Amino acid sequence: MKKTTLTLVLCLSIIGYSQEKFEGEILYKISLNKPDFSKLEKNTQISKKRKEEVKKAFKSSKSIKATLLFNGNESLYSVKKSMNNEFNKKINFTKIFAGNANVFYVNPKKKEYFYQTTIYGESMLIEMLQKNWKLTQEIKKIGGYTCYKAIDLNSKNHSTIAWYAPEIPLNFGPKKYFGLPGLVLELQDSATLFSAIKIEINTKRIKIKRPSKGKKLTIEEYNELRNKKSLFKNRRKN
Amino acid sequence: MKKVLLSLAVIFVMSSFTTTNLEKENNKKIKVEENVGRDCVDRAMEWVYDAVDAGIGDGELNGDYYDDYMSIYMFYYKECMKGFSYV
Repeated sequence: MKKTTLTLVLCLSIIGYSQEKFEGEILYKISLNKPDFSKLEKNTQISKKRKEEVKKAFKSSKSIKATLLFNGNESLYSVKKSMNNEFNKKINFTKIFAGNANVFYVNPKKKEYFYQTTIYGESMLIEMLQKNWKLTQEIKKIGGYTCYKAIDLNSKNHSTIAWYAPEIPLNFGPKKYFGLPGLVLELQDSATLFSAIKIEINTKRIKIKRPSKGKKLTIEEYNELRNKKSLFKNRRKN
Repeated sequence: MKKVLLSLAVIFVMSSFTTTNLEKENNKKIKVEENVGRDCVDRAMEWVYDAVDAGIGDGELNGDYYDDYMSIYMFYYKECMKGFSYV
């Protein structure tokens, strides 16, 4: 009986330790998907000068970097700030679609999934919903880790694809992409490609500061607020 | 006494005339500002539509990429308003 109890305690400690032992930082390189200008070219209501301006703005949107900090319990994703002033003044579509100035926080144990953003000048904490992942058996190697492919069934044309590493059994990933049985090392959505270029695990202590400033909003409350403001109602007529 | 009353009346009429003109000027300014604000809304929206037409994001303005489209909108709206001088 004593032996069984001892073994059980030992096993539980090992499992607990393996959960806790993963802490680190992933550096993602994020690039914007290639824009398709065929619709723009066909639009006769847009001047040639403006068409050129639009193309230039998209083409000058360079790739950027973002970090995912994590430990056994929680993760924090944010875009790295650029020191280049000129870069900060101009619009960078990649930066916007990578998460911009928002901070994304996930803590499965406490069931906290939200991002901190500023809406109409006010800081807010908006709830995030887990994606509807379909796990597949397709594999590829990323940074020495065997990664499995997962598809977000709720994404348009199933265009959101994640590659996660079960060897790192944490449910975290970049931006709003979490909830897989392994850390997401690559993610393709309909705007950007997130690729892990540096994977640091257990090389240093990671302290995560949970974002707390701002009013908490559920998805329903946020949708209600958006509907009230109703900025995006009409589509452009081509 | 009559002279004083007459002067007062003239001053009153003059001041009300000036006030009316000032009000008109202010209203004009506000109208111009409103028009520019409207123009900046339209211009900023054009950039959002450009991103959608270029296939960046899923194209659903009120969908998953709402925040991203809104960021594009806010950037161009602020830029447009900064460039405006009505004085």
